[in-house]
Amino acid sequence: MKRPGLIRWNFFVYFVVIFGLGFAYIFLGLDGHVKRLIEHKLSAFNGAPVTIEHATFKLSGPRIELEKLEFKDPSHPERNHFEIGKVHLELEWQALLRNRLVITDSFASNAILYPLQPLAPFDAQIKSLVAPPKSNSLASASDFLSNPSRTQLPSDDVWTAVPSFQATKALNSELDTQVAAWTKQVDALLETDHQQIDASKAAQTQDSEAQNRIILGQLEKSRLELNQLQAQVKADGNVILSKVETLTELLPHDVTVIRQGVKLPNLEFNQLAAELGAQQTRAVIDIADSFHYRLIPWLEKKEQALADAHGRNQGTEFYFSGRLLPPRLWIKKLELTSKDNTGSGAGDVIGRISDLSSEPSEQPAHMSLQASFSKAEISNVQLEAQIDHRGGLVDDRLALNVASFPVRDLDFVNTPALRMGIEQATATLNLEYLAQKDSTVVNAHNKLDKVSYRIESTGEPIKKVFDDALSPLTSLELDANGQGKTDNLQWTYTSNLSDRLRSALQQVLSQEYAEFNARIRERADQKVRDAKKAMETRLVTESDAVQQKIAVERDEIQTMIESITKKK
Amino acid sequence: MAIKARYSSRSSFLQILLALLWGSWLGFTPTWLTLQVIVLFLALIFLRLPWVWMATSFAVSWVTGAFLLDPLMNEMGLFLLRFPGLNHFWTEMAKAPIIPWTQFNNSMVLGSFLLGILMIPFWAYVAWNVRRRAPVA
Repeated sequence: MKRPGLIRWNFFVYFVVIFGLGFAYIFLGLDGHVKRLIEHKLSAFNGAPVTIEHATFKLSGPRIELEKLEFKDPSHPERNHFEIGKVHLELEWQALLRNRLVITDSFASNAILYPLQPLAPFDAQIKSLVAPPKSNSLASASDFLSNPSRTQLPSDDVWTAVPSFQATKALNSELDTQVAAWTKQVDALLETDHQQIDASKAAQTQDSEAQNRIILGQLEKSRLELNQLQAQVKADGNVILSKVETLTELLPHDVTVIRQGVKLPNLEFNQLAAELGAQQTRAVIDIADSFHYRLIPWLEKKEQALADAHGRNQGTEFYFSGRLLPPRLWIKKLELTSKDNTGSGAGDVIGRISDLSSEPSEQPAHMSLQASFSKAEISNVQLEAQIDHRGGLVDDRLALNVASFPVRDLDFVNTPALRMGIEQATATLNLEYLAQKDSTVVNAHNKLDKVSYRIESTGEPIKKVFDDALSPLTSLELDANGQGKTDNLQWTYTSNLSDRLRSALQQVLSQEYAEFNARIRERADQKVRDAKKAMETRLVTESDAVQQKIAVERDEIQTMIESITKKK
Repeated sequence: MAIKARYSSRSSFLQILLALLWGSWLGFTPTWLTLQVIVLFLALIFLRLPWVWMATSFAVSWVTGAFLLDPLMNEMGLFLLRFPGLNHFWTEMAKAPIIPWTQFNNSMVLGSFLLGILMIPFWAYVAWNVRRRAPVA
């Protein structure tokens, strides 16, 4: 039997079937595939889902046409924050054959920017050039002021830690020891004395002159010793009494300890400008964050670990670059235009991007944009940006000026006790971002006019404090300057708002503290007085008891001495 | 029985080896990456013994999952793609048309392809044994 060859040469039928399937894919499935691929790549850039209503890939050109791109807001993925009505991309075959995307000419139109929404609170997952403030003294102060029990003195448990309480305890212990010593000495003397007395009674019956003299001498000695002991008890008592008197000196320390335990807000408010400025600065430099943390890393990939799919590791993709190798992505020219002549909310936009590529070391990218978005109430946006990494030297710049944009619901404090911030205002912005080598400088100047504040509080006094402090301030200036290592910028903030709030808080808190301190001092004084009185009473009682015992014994000895003397 | 009779009587050593090799490549590479699609099309068009490479692909894919070979293949791919001496070679490959669509720049694709190559002696041994023990036509 003839053995068939290695390869199935009668493959023509299979070939036709496979290529038929291939053509069917190109005509029926390629557009969907391109749509999903672009959605996937743009979502990775946006940090939130990007959806495309319709995508068309045309082999003639080749070119890609996209309709209705919706960019979800990364901080609120349930809503759109940007839309582009139509995008037309002219591609280059040579690059496409090498699995690279070079866009020779392109335009995008009908851009819609949705009204700006407040940012979510600081989240460690979302990278930002602005670091979250290290303290929250404003929230702490407002919590304190809105707490109805803020001026209540601490419970008795807390007072056990004060120095006077510890000293009283030590003095009590010392007195215990002293009383025990006195009792022991008295008991020892009494035992000896009783022996003397018994001996003297026996001597009286024997009527021995010599014996009587000896006993008389011993009784005199015992009486003397009792006198000495009584004097010693009095002296020891006086020593302890003088120590009890020193409890008063511990009063200031008691007050300090109690105040430390209460944890009152710090009056200096050193970080107040940062607390107020960080949130607003983060909102206005969102575009610099996108530029720094999204656009540049998205473009400039060397290695990218792919997510697992279908239960299999999808590995890591490497991107190689070379002189004759086109960049992985290269937008040679993109014109962005949109005219707000329909009243549909699309803004007036004129923008241009040239040479935006995944290899800024070869082609420096330039971007410029002039826009006004009537629906979002944003007017006269001017953006100039550059990405230039030629010669291995980073020179990235971004300058953004916005003549007017709305600020809504900017909360400086949002705790159960207080929600305080800007309800609405009209703002202007000047932002400069410069990254060279590994250092970055960011300057943001933000001016807010027609400011209306939101002050909602459970406590009326605190509402009044902030109302009084903020109501005259209808115009705010917030300046932020960050510089240093790229991922660790050192920020300085200045603001007329923080100055005003600081002085208002310092005034009201100083008054609160003064009253509170007075009450603590009064309670501490009372406690020390009580402790002293108790100690003195106990000392006198114990001392008197011992002295009484000595006196009784001494009287008995005196009686014996007198009876022996009479007999003689 | 028909399959056994078919390979035992008519299939050559190389046909069996190619079917096993193709099957292992298909089984090792992650799902639906470009190289796997190309390998699948080539197998569908040219290769004989379709049940052999399909079964091998399924078995190898199962073994890969069961014995966690993905990290091994990934490490092999990473090593080669990061090896400084090969950077020029990969760049030249990236410059060539069509070749970049094989996604050789993916560590899993390269690692699985290399593992498939390394398994040629094993598959040759299996193919030789199958062929030797088959009844003579």
